[in-house]
Amino acid sequence: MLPLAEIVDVGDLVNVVWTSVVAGLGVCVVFSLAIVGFARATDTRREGGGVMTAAYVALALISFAAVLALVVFGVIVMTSK
Amino acid sequence: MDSEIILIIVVATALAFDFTNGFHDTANVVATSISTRAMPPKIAVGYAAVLNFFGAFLSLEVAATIASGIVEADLITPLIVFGGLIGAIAWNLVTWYFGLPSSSSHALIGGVVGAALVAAGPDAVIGDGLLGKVAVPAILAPTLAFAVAGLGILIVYRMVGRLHPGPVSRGFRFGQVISGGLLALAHGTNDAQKTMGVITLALIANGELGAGAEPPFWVVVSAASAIALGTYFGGWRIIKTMGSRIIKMDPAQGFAAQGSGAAVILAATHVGFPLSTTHTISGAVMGAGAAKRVSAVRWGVAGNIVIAWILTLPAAAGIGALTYGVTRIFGTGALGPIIVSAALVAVIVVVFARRLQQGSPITAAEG
Repeated sequence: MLPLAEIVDVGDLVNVVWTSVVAGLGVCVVFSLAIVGFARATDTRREGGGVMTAAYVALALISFAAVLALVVFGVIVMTSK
Repeated sequence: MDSEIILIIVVATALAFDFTNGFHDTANVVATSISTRAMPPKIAVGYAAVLNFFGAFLSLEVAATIASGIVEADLITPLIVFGGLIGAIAWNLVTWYFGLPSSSSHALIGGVVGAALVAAGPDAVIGDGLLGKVAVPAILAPTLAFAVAGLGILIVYRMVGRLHPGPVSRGFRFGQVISGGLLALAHGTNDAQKTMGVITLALIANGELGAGAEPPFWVVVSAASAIALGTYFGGWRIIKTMGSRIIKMDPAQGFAAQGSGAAVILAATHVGFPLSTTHTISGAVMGAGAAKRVSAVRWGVAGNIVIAWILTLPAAAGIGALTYGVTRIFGTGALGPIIVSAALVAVIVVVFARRLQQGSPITAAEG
């Protein structure tokens, strides 16, 4: 039985694991933040909370912009591999 | 004359493999979106087909051609490639028939390994390459995606759990449209390139192109068209398995599975360690289901899928080896590939005719 290090580059393997965890969880967190922002903004607008509404809209827009940035980065990864 | 006929047959077989690759892997992109009603079935497969087509033009890095580092490149002949393609097509059709998602890339590698073994003996296969480029990624991809999607859905539920369910579901459905689009682009880029690589290799071997040549434009367009057409036809049996037979998912789970799956695939590609789309998305679907409730996953179905993954390489290798052996009975000319191709087409026609007579139990309308 060959040791793992002779079959694959262990450094690559470790990089795949941590980048996958960061990217996967990052996507979930950022998109959830966008949803939280939009949903809370709708609630606070009904309740008349101007500043809070603006803060939640800002959270939603920034998070959504981050999602779009991740999509663009994904396309760049595809084109530059 | 014989070599030109063989070249035409290899090109046609490569495009047929590309088509089966498309309809086999449609499920990776659209199954969760259809299951959570993020998109109607027909729209979903049309969307995936268009993005698969454009994805094929994003990158033309075909230097790492078929089974590179796994089979000794100097020994590959058009007849070995033909045997490998037939092995891959046959295994794709078998797994489609049983509704099991399996890796088309592993099927192609298996087919070529089997044909090369028969043609040139054990020295033709690089064992370390087989372990490092097939076995390790096959274990890593579903395990990693399972863990990431499982953690992802737990975080998602914690973040949105107290919100009104209506806007949350609509939001995650929209997210699935984005992540599905990204997956379709990635699939078109990765998988259409394999066909371009096979055809380019055959053209170089036949002296039509110089060594190291880029794929001609007609090769790029035909490979993109074949995978897009296959995607549009949709492997509804596998879509059904992936979308609702493993777990019954809600939009948040659908997004966690698809979004984190896409992120894992692209992160691994970025590091230079490509993973199978099928293995990754299947693992992510199971992870998103198990994290909510372990018993939510139909482990019997999941077990069948894992068995199909384990069988992919040896089964495709067996068919590839058999194909090469039968082809060589007729010598090294075009007669062998002609007879094998005709036999395969006849089998496919009979199977589809029987399916049509019985009536298809799984259709787009059922989604």
